[in-house]
Amino acid sequence: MNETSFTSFLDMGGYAAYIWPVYGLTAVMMIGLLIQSIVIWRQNEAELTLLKSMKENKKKAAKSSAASEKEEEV
Amino acid sequence: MHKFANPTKFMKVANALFPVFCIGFIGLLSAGLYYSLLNSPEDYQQGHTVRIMYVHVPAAYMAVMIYAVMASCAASSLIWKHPLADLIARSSAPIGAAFTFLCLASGAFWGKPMWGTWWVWDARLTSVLIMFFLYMGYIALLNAFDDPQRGVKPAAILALVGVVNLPIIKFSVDWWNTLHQPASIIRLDGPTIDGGMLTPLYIMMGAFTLFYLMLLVIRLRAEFAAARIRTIRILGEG
Amino acid sequence: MFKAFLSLLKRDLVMGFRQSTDLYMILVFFVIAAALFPLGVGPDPAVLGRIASGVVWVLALLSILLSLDRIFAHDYEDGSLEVMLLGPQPFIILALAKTLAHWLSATLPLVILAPVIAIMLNMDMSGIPALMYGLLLGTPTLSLIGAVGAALALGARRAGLLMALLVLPLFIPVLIFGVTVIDAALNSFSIRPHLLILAALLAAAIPLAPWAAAAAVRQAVTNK
Repeated sequence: MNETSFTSFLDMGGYAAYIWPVYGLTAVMMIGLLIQSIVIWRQNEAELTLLKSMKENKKKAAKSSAASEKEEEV
Repeated sequence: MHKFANPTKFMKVANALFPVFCIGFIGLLSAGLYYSLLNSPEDYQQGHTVRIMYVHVPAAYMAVMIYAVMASCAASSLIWKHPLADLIARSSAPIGAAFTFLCLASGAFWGKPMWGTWWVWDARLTSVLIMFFLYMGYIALLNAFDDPQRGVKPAAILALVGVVNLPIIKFSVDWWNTLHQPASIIRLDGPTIDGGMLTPLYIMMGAFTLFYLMLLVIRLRAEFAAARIRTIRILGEG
Repeated sequence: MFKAFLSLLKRDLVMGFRQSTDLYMILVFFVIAAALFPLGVGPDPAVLGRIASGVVWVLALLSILLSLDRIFAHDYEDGSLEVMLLGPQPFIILALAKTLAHWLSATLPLVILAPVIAIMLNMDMSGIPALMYGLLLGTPTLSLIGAVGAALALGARRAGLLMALLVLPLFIPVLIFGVTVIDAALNSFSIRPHLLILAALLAAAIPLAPWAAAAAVRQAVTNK
């Protein structure tokens, strides 16, 4: 691809000011949607794992405290 | 069909298909961009601006298609109370709204050089604008209640009411003779546009559809995680 | 069933007129908003005459929007809707009665006031009958669509704002054909086809809108 054909590609027959914004907007919209979706998904998954680990810790804590109470009784 | 009504099985299938969607999307998008920007004929009337069509028409198709998906999911969530249908509807709405906006914006950039104006209040443009408002109303209604589950049914009813708009969009170009050109792809006697333009158009439509499916899977994962968070919260507090 | 329809209609009308300050405020809003236009676009009679049809219709839409919460919100809050849902009559009939009561008590006064405002805005006299026919055929559709929006927004945060967001896009077709009736009359074309379209919209809304409103009210009450 030589220089003149590249500039004529960018120029789009004089309609560059209309064609490129459309493709740019499409790219921005698609990337934005993708990032937003992934961010929500990651956030929810992170919260879920946090909640699960908290639940596990609670169970463990309940078990160990029960065990320690027994020891004290002994 | 009922196999897919089970959310876990559905997600298993969706997750298995996810890489296919991603690779297919990237492949079709690159092919579509190559054809639409480099290797497609100029229109004898519209010159290079016809390249806007390869974004505009697929975006319009996605806007209507996603609304149809959303409304049928709303119907099945109201009638059969499928939890999955409700999740699909709520995940689709922002994507559909974005494509409707893209359709309107790209139409404006096409209208300026061709019609000499960014916007006309013609029947097709107005009915698509109404669809954009309906998407916005759906999202607003879904989030308008303190209990997030409370918005599901009203939003579904609104989505069904808005279906009235779909035939208006489809036939607006035939019923009213206005600036927007009549249908040239989906018609009984076959497409009326040049084959060299049809190829990039179909490829871009495919790419956009795969993009929607890709986002849908990601958003459904997020929704399932949110649902599990809710159940843990309720069980934990109870 | 017809008896239940009539008795609910009567009850809602009596309640509506008992809260006549609401109605009065809506009418005042209609007039004040109309008075803003000559001040905003300038008092040139030619300009005002050209926009008068659209202004009257748009203001009628907005004024109707202000009264929509009267259809279901009070009965939702004090629990009357629950009683109505438990009753033997199909709720669709009751929703239709409540909508008709809303139209008679809150919308018809606007329709009666509309020609005064049209004259204030210098609309040509030949457009006035068309305005009235259009409003008489179009505003019942607006009340019906509005009832759906009012039912959907029951129990929401900022219900009034939400209602506007839901209902205004659906009002657009009525607005378009309501204004074309007047334009046809002003340009001495036949107004019949445009009125027939308004009638068709009404005919479609009478069965569909109460059905959607009833479904929305039912879920709002059960999830209250």
